[in-house]
Amino acid sequence: MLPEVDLSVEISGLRFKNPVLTASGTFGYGLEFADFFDISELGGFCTKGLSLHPMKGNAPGRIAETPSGMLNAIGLENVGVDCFIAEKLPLLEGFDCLVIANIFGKTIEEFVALTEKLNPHPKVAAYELNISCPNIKEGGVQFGHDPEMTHRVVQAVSSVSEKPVWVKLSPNVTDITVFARACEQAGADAITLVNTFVGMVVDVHKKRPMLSNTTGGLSGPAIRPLAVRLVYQTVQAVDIPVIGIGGISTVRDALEFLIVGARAVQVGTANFVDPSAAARIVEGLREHCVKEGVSDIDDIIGSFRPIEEGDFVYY
Amino acid sequence: MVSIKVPVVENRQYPYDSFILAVRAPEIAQSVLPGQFVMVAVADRGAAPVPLLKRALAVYSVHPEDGQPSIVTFLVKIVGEGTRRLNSVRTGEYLDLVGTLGNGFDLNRGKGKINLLVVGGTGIASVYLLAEKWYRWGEEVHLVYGGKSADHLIGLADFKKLGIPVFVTTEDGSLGYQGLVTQGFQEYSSKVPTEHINLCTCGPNAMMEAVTVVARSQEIPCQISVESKMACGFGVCLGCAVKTLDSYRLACTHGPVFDGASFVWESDSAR
Ligand SMILES: Cc1cc2nc3c(=O)[nH]c(=O)nc-3n(C[C@H](O)[C@H](O)[C@H](O)COP(=O)(O)OP(=O)(O)OC[C@H]3O[C@@H](n4cnc5c(N)ncnc54)[C@H](O)[C@@H]3O)c2cc1C
Ligand SMILES: Cc1cc2nc3c(=O)[nH]c(=O)nc-3n(C[C@H](O)[C@H](O)[C@H](O)COP(=O)(O)O)c2cc1C
Ligand code: FES
Repeated sequence: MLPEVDLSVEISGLRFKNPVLTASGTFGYGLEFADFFDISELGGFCTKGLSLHPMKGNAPGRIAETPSGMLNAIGLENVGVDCFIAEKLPLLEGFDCLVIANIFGKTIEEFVALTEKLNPHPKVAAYELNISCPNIKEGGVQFGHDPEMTHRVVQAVSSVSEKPVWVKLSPNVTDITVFARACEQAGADAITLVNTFVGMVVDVHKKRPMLSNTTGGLSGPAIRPLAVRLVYQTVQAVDIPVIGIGGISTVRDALEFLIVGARAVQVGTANFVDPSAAARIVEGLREHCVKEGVSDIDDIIGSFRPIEEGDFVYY
Repeated sequence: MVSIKVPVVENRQYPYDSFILAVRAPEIAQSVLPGQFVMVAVADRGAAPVPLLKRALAVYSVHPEDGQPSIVTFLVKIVGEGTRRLNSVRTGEYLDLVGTLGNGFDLNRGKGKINLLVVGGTGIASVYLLAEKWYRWGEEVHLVYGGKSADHLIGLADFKKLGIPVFVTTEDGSLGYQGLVTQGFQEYSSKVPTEHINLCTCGPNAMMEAVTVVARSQEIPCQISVESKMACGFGVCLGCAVKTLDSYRLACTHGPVFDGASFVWESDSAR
């Protein structure tokens, strides 16, 4: 028998059985992964971004592979919140893991309406406001690239929400801490980052973009160091919990984010590469704690040792 | 649907950068339907593998071991880094597979029909199981198979062994009819009353498009097996969308087989 390790973490008043969640848009509505592993093993998962009305998404050419990553411009295709409530949510009842509804609106009113529609459903544990999708023309980044707009949308949702409100930030800004503070001041309960980095790939034979949207969002191992740095900065800037996302494929990757202070992590693109990646990371975290003699994951979170004046590092 | 690690039992090289990989994968062998595919990568590739994503490959054929379906083969053409890596695996090494994926061909459409499989190049990988199934059912099935030269026609012998009529076209005339497979198809189909034909096609987009244009104009039912870039292969990334008359559809779960009548090609918008 392995010694007991407490992997559970508390975020915005919710207790997660472990700090490993799966990222919006990479885990469908959860059910698609049930063939690969018991999704109750996860701390939780974020649904594909939900809008008030179904959205058909962008025209094909939606993805392009890049070195250690991929670009996507899905255009937030989704079944719409009503279909999610009627058809997907009931099927999730049987799973013992927390469901985070990732929501996105074109206007503040749409964000509020989505929150009100989901409020009565106990299976939804929290909201994750996507104010950072780079792939749609209106909404999304319009809120995520202007601290004033960020404040307004977060405040509006927080005032009607009966559940914790998480806000997912865009990395495509000059100073992420400005946005993190705006969220905190507006009443957000947690911050999740990062969403994808805007990028572009050109087909050199056709001399055209690979994506019908011209640009797309970069995800996968390629973005991990960029994400770690932004999470580290954000943790310093706010008191509310931060959840780290970006290129996590192994337990080592997850540990980087936890050590710099993320209270939990989300696994995204790795779910495509290996459908059981998130479950593998949960198991790996447990083994890591046993090996290191750590009985509580909280002892790892924020255990980062910054470089002090005069320090240097050898290998 | 399973995610499994399977041993390679054979990797046979063919001319023009083609190869047939055989793996022992009873889970896939026992469930695969004609036209379905698998996401494939070399196993144990580490945390940030190159390339990152698995590659979609049709199941070419299935073979028994001890009387049970067990061996699955893929017929592959090297086009870039992913297929090149797959080409380098040896017997005894392992692959990671996610499958079985996709809808497959609608087999019932072939009942009582003259089934014409019109295939260009590596598209042949998607139709062997289909030919085999209809042949076993006693349905009439013909292959029209085109390539650049005789040496490009990988798998031809397998279809001949099956005993179905095969009409070959080559661009250089080194075997069969000289010309494109689409010309061969028109030549061949003109001998049969169109109302009896059921068409299935797989190959380069330009070729399938030409076949569907003919099929539409003659009102011949036509199923097409299309390719689209895929990240997951099982309906969650939404990256593989293709366009049909009603809506965008996912090539991995709604397809890869679509009805030629309602599929929208890149050049349809210009028509
Ligand atoms: C359902 C389906 C079944 C397929 N069956 C076969 C088969 O049986 N035999 C075979 O040889 N090939 C098949 N293909 C095509 C095969 O998946 C591609 O040739 C392969 O992905 C190319 O990868 P690469 O790294 O070698 O090439 P690169 O061009 O370097 O790949 C770059 C990126 O584009 C993607 N890509 C490139 N070409 C294609 C393509 N034609 N279709 C989809 N994605 C592509 C790759 O996956 C990768 O993400 C199939 C494709 C699909 C969608
Ligand atoms: C195909 C795809 C679709 C995505 N869709 C959404 C979405 O609907 N809402 C959202 O907030 N983030 C979405 N994301 C962003 C991811 O949730 C995550 O923030 C990002 O991919 C970085 O993590 P990763 O490198 O682990 O993938 C999507 C990412 C990908 C690759
Ligand atoms: S490949 Fe991911 S949805 Fe089709």
